[in-house]
Amino acid sequence: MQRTIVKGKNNEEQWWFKRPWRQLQTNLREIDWLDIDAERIVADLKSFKATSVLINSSGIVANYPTTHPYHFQNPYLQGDSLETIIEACHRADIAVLARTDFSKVRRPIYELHPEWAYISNEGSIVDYNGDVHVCFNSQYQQRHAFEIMKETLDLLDFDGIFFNAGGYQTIDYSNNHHGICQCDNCRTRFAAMYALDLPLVEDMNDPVYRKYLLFKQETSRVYERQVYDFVSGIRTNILVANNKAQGALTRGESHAEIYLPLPNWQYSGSDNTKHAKASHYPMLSVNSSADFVGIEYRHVAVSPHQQSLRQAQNLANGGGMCYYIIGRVDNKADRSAYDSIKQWYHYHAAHEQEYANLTSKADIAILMNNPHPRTNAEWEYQGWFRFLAENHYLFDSFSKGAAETVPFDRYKAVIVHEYEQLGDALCRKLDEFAQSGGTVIAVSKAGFRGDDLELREQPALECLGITRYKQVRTGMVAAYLKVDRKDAFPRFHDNDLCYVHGTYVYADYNERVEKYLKLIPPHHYGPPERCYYTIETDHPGVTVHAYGKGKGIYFPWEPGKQFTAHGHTNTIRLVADVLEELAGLDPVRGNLSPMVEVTLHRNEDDGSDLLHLVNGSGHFGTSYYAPITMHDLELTLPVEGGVREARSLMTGEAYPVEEENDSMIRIRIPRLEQLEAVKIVYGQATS
Amino acid sequence: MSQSQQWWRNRPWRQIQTNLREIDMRDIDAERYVADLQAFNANVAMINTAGIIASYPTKLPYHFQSSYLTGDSLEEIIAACHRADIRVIARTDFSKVRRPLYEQHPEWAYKSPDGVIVDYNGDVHVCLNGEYQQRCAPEIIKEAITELDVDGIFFNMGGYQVTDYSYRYYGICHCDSCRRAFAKAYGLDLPKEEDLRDPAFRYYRQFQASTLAAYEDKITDVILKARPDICIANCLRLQEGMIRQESNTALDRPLPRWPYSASENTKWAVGTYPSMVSSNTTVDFLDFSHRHVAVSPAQQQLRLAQALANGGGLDYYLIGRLDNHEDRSGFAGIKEMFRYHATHGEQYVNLESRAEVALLNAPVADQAEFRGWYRVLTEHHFLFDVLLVPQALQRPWDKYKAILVPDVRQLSDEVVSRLDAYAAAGGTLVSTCASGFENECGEARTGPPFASMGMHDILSLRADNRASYFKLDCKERFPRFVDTDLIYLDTDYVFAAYRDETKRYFRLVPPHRFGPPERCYYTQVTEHPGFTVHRYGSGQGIYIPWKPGEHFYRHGYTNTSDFAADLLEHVAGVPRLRGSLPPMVEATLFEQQSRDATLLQLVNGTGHFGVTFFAPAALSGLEVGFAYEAAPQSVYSLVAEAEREFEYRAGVLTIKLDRLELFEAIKISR
Repeated sequence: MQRTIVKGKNNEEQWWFKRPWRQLQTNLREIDWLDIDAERIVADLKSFKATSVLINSSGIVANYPTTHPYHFQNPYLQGDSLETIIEACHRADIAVLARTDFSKVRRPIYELHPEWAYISNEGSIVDYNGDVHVCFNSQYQQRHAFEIMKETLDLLDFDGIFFNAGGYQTIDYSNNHHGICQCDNCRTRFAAMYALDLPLVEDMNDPVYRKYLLFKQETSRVYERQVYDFVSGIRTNILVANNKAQGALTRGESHAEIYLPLPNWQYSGSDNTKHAKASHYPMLSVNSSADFVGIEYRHVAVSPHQQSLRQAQNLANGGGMCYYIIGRVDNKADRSAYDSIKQWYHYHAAHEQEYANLTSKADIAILMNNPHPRTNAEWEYQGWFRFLAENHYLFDSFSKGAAETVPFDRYKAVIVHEYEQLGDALCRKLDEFAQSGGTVIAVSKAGFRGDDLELREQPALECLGITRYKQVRTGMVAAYLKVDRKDAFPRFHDNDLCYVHGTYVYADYNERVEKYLKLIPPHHYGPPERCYYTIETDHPGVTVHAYGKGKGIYFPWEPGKQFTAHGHTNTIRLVADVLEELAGLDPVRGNLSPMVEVTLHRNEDDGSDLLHLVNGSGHFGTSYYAPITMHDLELTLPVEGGVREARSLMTGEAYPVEEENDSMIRIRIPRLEQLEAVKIVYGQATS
Repeated sequence: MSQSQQWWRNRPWRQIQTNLREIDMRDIDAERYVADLQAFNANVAMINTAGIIASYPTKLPYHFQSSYLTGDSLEEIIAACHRADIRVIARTDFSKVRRPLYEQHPEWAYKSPDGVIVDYNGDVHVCLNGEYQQRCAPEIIKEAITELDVDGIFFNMGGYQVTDYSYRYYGICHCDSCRRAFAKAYGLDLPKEEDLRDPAFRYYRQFQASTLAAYEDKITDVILKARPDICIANCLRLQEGMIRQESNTALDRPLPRWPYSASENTKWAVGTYPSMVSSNTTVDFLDFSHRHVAVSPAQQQLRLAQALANGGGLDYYLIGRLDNHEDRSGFAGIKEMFRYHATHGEQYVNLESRAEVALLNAPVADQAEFRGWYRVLTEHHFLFDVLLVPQALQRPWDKYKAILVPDVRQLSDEVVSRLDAYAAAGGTLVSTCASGFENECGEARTGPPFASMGMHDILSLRADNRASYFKLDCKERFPRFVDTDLIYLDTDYVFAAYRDETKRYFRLVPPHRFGPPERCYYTQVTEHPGFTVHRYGSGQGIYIPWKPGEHFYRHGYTNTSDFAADLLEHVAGVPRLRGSLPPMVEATLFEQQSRDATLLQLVNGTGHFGVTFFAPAALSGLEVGFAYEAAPQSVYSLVAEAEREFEYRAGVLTIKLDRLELFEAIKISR
């Protein structure tokens, strides 16, 4: 029976678009309920000026009295109730989202329904300290999870819901990989779709595994739609996080892990926000700074400066903020980041109208890899992200799925890094983009496979002028590119070589393709007396193909991967020359350090522009310290007419602006700490 | 030879190593070679002379004659260098012979445990104990240094080489020479694997040490008989000449990068062997496989600045010649540092460190733990030396307020008792984890190594501590933890029994549940400490039964570095520089002996961004303060060649700097 509940303020349709996003996720442990105090919770949230909170309600444990037989009741509910907390939050105009997790059930529930469990190749379940992994295709996730959702949303006045660990989970908290689920539900459903047995290992060379990837994609998509339909059937104004069918809000996470291989991804906040904003517009981006150093150490925080950097990156890329901690604000053992988080939340609260409706003014787009950390494509992507950010290009990044629908006409270039899987439609769209004047930059094996994941017979992108791929040679050691045309590579005035380590793609090109750089194949490298090369081939390092009004540029090797792994400036200098001299792209010029990230947005509400500079100089090796204060910065910026003033949101000062030409200004910024935000107002200058 | 005859003594040191390829001798021009060195202000050159190939006409049948000697001769080049007051070091390498020589003497070759040789593109690895290195090499050396008027000699790849240029590992040499010599010395078969648990391998390490020492003696005797005036590189026995090391990179070397490579190399050389010249080179290239492309110019400049700041000379190493090098992007920055040194070189001779802490290291010690502490000390601006043990037994230790032993597992009885004596006499000894748990031969000690630590038994060393913490107490001594109550523990922890009077701090939270979040809380807090303090004589022993340095080195989280810094500052009572230096700035302090002056140097490392080295961000408005014995007459920047503002109050000197780019050197004259 549904109870009458006190409605919060967030009962209007699409309330999420009208709300500034400063979220706190208090990932409550079951014992946090022993003495939880609603007023204290709200007071703590208010001290951060948080506008929403994400609280665990359902799934792993029920943090309210449940009547559902398969919902494990938290035995510690002795403090204030979730109902009381939600009411208190609503009185303070704080939206409350339910955090749920249906990926595991407690062992006693498993014992009632062993058929729900995930099953490994060896036929075993994963019992992680009494929590048993359940399969995505089981009745628990497919039916009972919906019943639990309904109970939660009927009983409690939540404004939104978030699903943790959704989809096909094959890894436990200790980072053990258990492999593809082999349960009967998966077996039956996969056989029904493809008439095949489940693959045993994740191997792209196995055609069955490629089908399995499509299976996961399709079943997840169906589930996402079902969840949206179901929840909006309960209340239409419930926000469903990460649900593209609803299109409200994407929640990302910048987090650290002890076991992750180096290097650190220092642009995590920028990357997550850029990707969410550009891929799913007008969906909101809320990217979380996960407090802890690793999942095993949830009670110790990464440095306050790392958290500050992430939040600055979120803001500069037009996204909302989230701070994610274990336990409650008032009982946390490591509070070292509170001040730096509050600094950004308070800044945002003071200027929230400036951040309410921002659209990116980037003129380059890069295809984002789906988040598979540390795959080959991920390394290549991160390298390109660095090439663009550290040379001060204004750029967006979006997912492959979004690339099919996002209009390209505002971009001068689209970069398709080493990204094997590109559908026919997207390839045609890229060709058309080049045809009508854009520049397509493709890398290595881009487009080698279609949407069906099968290898293509013919080169996918016509704009590159490649007639045939002949061979992908891996394990290239001691190879170089000879810089033969210095006019196109001014950064190589005192250097004749660029190194190549890893993969090189041998191809035939049509006769209109201009080839730059000459491949020097692997040569002797020891002892020094014999370290010289004797062969210089005509295989290119970069090609340029005029195509319609635009062009296709191809890198038959993997500069991004090389730069992510090694970080040598030899690589970034070469790519910078290609972007500037061969692709004809314009970075923001001036005297900015490569460690400063630049972004530019349009404020759709008042027509002004918002420039951001993020100072990443605190990132030192593996550590994050306070950034170095930089002085007397100068930069040029594209504008759309006369500029009346450029005023800092950080200091309130107006900064000197000079007109370079009709579409370019030069702006001087006296001082940069962690972040600068300059509002550029158009119109006649008032004297 | 008297000290005055040693040309390298008190001579400002700026070396360039042109690692010549055989084809570089084809059209080498002596005048051009010298002009290029002069453009860098180099005053020492290292040139490949002998070994892999003879770069001069040799009369010895087993010395492989270069077939490219059509340019100016080595003799002419050396003479031209001498006219320009540039000293020349002969670079030699006796680790390989060409295949035709091997075919005449297969018994010279290195042999893997499986009985195969290493033929690397026609260069065959030869064994240290073979006749080539034992008999032919001395003859070649003698010929080279008597035929040619070189000023010094350097041996590349000396000793027992077990990997090739492609980083393939082949294992312990099993050639007949090794087999016989080892059997004769120890009555044992050679060990198959490098495993310290195998007593035969522990003997093998002694065997290596003694054969190397004998070889060094033999070669040194040959050289000194023929040419008593020349500088022998890396001759630690004589404690004269230069210690030549490298700051280099490799593409597949595991991360993190070691940004203090040049600082560290210089520190241990200067700290352990102050009578020798420290010549740490910046290696131009990315890796063996890519010798023709350079690391970033900023990285090379940083290395040179670190070498100077730590009391060393300058050294730059490139493949080929300066005039035909394909990647010249590093030249401008290197010239700038060399030019600075050419102007101020006299300021850099006869320096003595004013460090107050010593960090010990040993060749087989835990380098992650060492490097983590190195970072803590540098990034919190403690002034410290690095001492290599056991060699540093010869140095006085009483100048240090604290000595840190970062998980140096193998320590001899002599080193252990010297460290205890140091504590007894008033010093603070800080030991972490398994320091001294074994003797220098790798044999386990039966009880706790240090009397000064106040421990009566070692119970066990547990390695699987993931998801453990220390709960802090005594917060008044850990002000960096004002808003943090936990320190995370991964990897090793030593469970020990302590004497009653040993004070224990912090409490170990053993591994707890960490997922799902609903169940992420700990329920047990033990009495096992995070560190202990034991009064000992007039000093104290501080024991940290885990590896904070290793945590910081691997992960970089300030959680552990803050612990280490608070411990040093507020428990060990070690002072650090005051002021506003950011952690990325390294600071050193040297006494300019017999000049009534002190040199403060600062190196700006802010350009180290993730895995990359960019130009550093310029810093403004810095202050550096430290206790100083007298009000200075002047405080002068050697870099800017201008006076700097300072304040001297209550024994503390505070220096103000408007701006710091890469490097600053401030001369404080009393």
